[in-house]
Amino acid sequence: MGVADFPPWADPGQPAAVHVSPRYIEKALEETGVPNVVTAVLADYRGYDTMFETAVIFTAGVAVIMLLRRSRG
Amino acid sequence: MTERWGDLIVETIARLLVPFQQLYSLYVLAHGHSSPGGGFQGGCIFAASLVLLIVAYGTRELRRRFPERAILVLCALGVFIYAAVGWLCLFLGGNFLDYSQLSKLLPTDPIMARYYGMAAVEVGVQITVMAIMMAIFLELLTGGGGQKGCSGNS
Repeated sequence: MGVADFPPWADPGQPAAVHVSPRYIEKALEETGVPNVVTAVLADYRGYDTMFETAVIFTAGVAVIMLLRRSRG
Repeated sequence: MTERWGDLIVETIARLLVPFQQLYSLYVLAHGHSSPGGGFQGGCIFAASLVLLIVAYGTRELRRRFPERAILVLCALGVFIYAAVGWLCLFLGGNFLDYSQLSKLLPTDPIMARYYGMAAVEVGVQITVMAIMMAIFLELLTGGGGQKGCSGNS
């Protein structure tokens, strides 16, 4: 199976964990002033992504309203 | 279901609980910088407090205090706040959502300006999530009845 070649689960040495993660963990506090790394990544490093997450929620809500709303009159 | 229960226990518990719930939602929002939390979670907790109000007092009471038009305006306002912060950073000379540029407006250094910029966009997320949750819940509850509330068929 191809899955057998995946790196072990939660291995700190796997490629995905050694690329940009250490940089965020080490520099987040001094670069953003926020002690919570999750918030620093969510709202600062990936702020553009989060903006469109909010837009997706807005769009989904408007779609639900448009589908459920009875036509007036 | 949308009619008022008229139950003393439910109304009293709701009246006692809702202020603390909304305060806790604002705490989750404001404390999201140093603990788990933020706009998405805080908005959901705030919406849950309004759901409790509906359970206790019915949709008419909520509609009277919180009209449908206000909910729809709040939905868009949150996204607008987020995008407006981004554009403000752009106009101040940085990249889109480069909060360091806000230090030209705020009396802080660029690092703390990022802190406050993040707080501003989280407020936007909170407003949108809260308003969308309420809009979806009210539409489902009233069967799309909108402003009129549920009249007749439930």
